[in-house]
Amino acid sequence: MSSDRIAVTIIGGYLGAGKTTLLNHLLAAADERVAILVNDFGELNIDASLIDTTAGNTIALPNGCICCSLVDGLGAAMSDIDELDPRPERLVIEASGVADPAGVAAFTHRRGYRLDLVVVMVDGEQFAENAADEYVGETVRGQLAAADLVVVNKTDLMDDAADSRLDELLDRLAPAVPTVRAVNAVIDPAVLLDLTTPAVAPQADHLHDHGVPFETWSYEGGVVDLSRVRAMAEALPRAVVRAKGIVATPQGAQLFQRVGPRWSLTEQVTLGSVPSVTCLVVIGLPGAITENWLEDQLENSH
Amino acid sequence: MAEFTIYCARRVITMNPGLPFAEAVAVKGDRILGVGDLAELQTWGDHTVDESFRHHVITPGFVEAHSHAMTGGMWNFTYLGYFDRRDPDGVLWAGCKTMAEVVARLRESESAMTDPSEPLIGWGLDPIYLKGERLVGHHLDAVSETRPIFIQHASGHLATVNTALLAQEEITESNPTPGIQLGGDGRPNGELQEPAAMSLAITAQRRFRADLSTEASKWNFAFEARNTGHTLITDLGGTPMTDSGVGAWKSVTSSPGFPARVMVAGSFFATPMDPDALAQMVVDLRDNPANDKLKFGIIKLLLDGSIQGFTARISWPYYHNPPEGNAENGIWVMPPETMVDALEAFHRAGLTVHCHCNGDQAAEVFISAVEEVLERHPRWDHRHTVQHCQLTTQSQYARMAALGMHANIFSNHIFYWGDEHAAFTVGPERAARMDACATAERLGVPFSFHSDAPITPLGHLHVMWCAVNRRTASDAVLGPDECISVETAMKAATIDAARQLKLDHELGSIQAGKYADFAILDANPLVVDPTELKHIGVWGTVVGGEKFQAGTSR
Repeated sequence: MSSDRIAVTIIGGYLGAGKTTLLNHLLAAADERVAILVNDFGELNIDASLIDTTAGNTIALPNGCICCSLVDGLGAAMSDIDELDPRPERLVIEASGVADPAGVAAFTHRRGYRLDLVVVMVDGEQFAENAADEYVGETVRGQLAAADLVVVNKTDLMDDAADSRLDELLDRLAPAVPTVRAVNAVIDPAVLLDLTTPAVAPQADHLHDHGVPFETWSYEGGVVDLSRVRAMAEALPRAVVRAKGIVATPQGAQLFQRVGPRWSLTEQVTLGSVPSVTCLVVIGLPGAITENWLEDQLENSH
Repeated sequence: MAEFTIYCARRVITMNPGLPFAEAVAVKGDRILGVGDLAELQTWGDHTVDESFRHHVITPGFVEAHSHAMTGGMWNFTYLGYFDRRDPDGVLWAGCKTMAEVVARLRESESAMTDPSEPLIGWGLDPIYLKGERLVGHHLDAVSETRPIFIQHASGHLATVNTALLAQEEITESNPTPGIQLGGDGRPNGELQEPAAMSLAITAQRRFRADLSTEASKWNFAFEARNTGHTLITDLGGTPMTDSGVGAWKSVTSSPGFPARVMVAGSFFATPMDPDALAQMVVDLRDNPANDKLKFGIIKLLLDGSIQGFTARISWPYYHNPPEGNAENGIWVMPPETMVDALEAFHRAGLTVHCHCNGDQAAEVFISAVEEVLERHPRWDHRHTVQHCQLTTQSQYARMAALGMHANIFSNHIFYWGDEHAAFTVGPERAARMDACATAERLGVPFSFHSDAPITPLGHLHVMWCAVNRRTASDAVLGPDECISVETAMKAATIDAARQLKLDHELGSIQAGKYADFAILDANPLVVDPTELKHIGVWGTVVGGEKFQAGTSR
C-alpha cells in the first residue's frame, strides 16, 4: 500500500533563498513522474512558450511535469493531483516565501500521500538580517521548525565571520536538523529523493559528482532486537540526512525510515518464512558516522 | 405606447447632494430619465405611472464592494446555524437552537437524498450557542451510519464528521495531522480543526468546492443581492481569469433576468499568470464589456490573515490574549517586500488595486507600497483601496488621504466578533477604534463598508446598523466615538462604494443618465430609529429598469 502513496517533497524558505533553483535541480534529477505545486506563479516564471497545455488549473510542461495552481487551497490541489492519470509518484511543493513549511506538511498525512522530505533553503547572505526583521523575522525563523534538511545557499557570498554567525543561529533555531552548504542551490539530488531499497542505493563514489559531497554507509546483518533499533534511531547524529532499510526482529520485519530528525518503524507484512536479514543504508555529511557505527549500535553490547 | 415609466414613491432618496429627495423617478429603458415631482417628470412626454412603490422608499441600489460569489453556493447544502437566515429563494430557515434540532434537520435532508454514497453536507453550525454536550461524530451517526456526513462550522475553521466519513477517509488516531480531535476512548471523535485536518474529508470537500463555483451558485448570489437591496455586488477574488472562469460570469450576466450587476476582481492568487499578463487581461475585459451587468477593472491582493484567527499582521503590542502556543504575530499571505513590484504592474496598467489588510502592519506595507509606486509612476485618481482596514491607525488614514486612497471597512465585525476582539484579540482600547469609519470620515478618506459574504451574511442594512450603532453580539457598544451618522452610512453603502469601484459615473445615486438601479425599502433609513436599521424590510430591487421582487424564484 505505502509504495502506492505519492511521496511529498516540500521546499520552503524565504524569498531569494534559492527554492526555485533547487526545484529545477530536483526535476532534472528525478526519473519519477513528478507533479509540482507552487504558491507564487510570479516567482516560478514559467515562460508561456514552454507550456504545453493548460487545462483548468493545471499546466503541463514539456518534460512531463504538471503544475497545479492553489486556487482552491492545498487540500483541493492535492485531491486533483491524486486523480491525475498517469498518477505522479512524487509531488514537489514549492512553498511561498512566507509560508510555514510545517503548515504545508500538515496537509500531507492524507489518503494517497506520504511526507518524504521538508527541505528549507536559507539565504546565507541574508538570513541573519531577515531573521531579525520586524516584519518577517518571526516568519523566517519559524520556517526552520519543520525542516528535515537545511540547505544554506549562496555560501560563496559569505565571509568566515558571517559563516560562523550563521552557524550559531542555526544551532539555536534548528539544533537537530542536518545542515548542508551550497552554491547555486547545487546539492546532491540523492538526498532530495527517496533512498530506494538498500540493494540499489547510490554508491559513495557516484555521489561526489554534484556539489556538496555526501557519504553513504550500509549495514547487513541478521535478526536484531527492536530496542537496539530504536536506540540506534535516536543516536543517529544530526549530520545524517536519510536512513532507510528493513530490520529483521524477533517480532517480524520492520521498515525503518529516517528523514532529518524524523524517524519511524513500520511493521511489514511478510508471508511465509520469518525474516532473517537486516539491511540498512544511511546517507549524510562526510564523517557523520564512523565505518563501524551501525555495527556497534546494532550488534555489540555497550 | 408609453415611452417611459414614472415610479412614484413615499420618498426617493437620491444620494445626489444637489437634489437629495424627490417623490418620483422616471425610467426609460435601463436608465434614469429624471428625478423630481410627478408634474416635472410628465413633461418628458408619453409615459405610464407605476404606483407599485407608492408606499415604499426608493434609494440607490446598494453597492457591496467586498463579497464573494461562493456565498450563493452554500445553499446547496443544509443550513445548521443558530441564527435565522433567509435563503436565495426568500425562504426563512429558522436557526437550530439545540442539538436535537440540528440532527432533525439533517435527517430531513438525508431522507431526501437518493444516491447512498453521496456525502451529506451541512454548514453554519456554531457549537458555542448549543447548550449542553458538544456535538461530535456519534451524534451524527444517529442521522446515518453509512452515508458520510460533513458539517462545516460557522467559523469555516472547524468541521464535524460522522463515523462513516472517518472510515471512508481512513482518519484514525495514528494519523499525525494536527487538528484531529480525539474522544475519551482515544479515537477520533469526528471534530476536525483547521484546514489541514478538514482537508482529510477528501470526497466531501471536493463536492463542497465544486458546488461553490457553479453558475447556479452565481444566480443564488444575485438572488441574495436582490433580497437585500443590492444592485451591484463584487466577486472580490476567487474567480480565475481563465476562459471558463470569466465565461461563467459572461454566461449568467447575459441571461435575461439576472438580478444584479457584478464587479469581478482580477485575482492574483486565483490566476496562474504573471502580474503584467493579468493586468492586460483585466484591462481588456474592462474595455470590452460583454454586457452592462458585468464589470471589470479592479485587482485583488492579499497581505495577511484574520484578526479572530490571530493571523492578521498587527503592530506592537501584538495580540492581547492569544491561545496558548500561538505565534506572537500573524502571517503574511504574500511577502511584504514583493508588494511594490506586484502593485506596480497593476498601477501602471491603470487598474485599481484592492488589498486585503486586516492588521495595521499589513496596511502599513500596502500604504507604503502605494507611496513608493506613486513616486515612480505618478498617477492621479487611482483609488487604490485598503480592504477590511480593521486596525488602520489615524496616522495611516492621514497618509491614505494624502495619497488618494480609499478604505473599505469590515463594519460587520463589530457585531459578529467585537466581544472577542475586546477580550482576546486586540484588547479593549484597540477594539474600540477598530473599523474606524468616523476616523476615515474625519481625515477625509472616502470609504465604503462590507459583509465579506459568506464570512458574514450579505446585507448592507445590517452593515449600516453596525457602523452607526457599533453594538456587539452581547449588546455592548464598542467605541462609541467611531459611530457614524445614518447619512454617512447611506453614502458608504451607495455612492461612495460605487466611486471606490470607479462605477460612480453610471450608478450609486439616482440622477438622470445613470442606470435605473434601486433598492425598494419598506421604511426610510434616514427617519427610522437608527437601532432599527437592520430590521427595515426590503421589497426587492430594480436593476436596469427591471423589477426584481425579493424571495421570488427566477
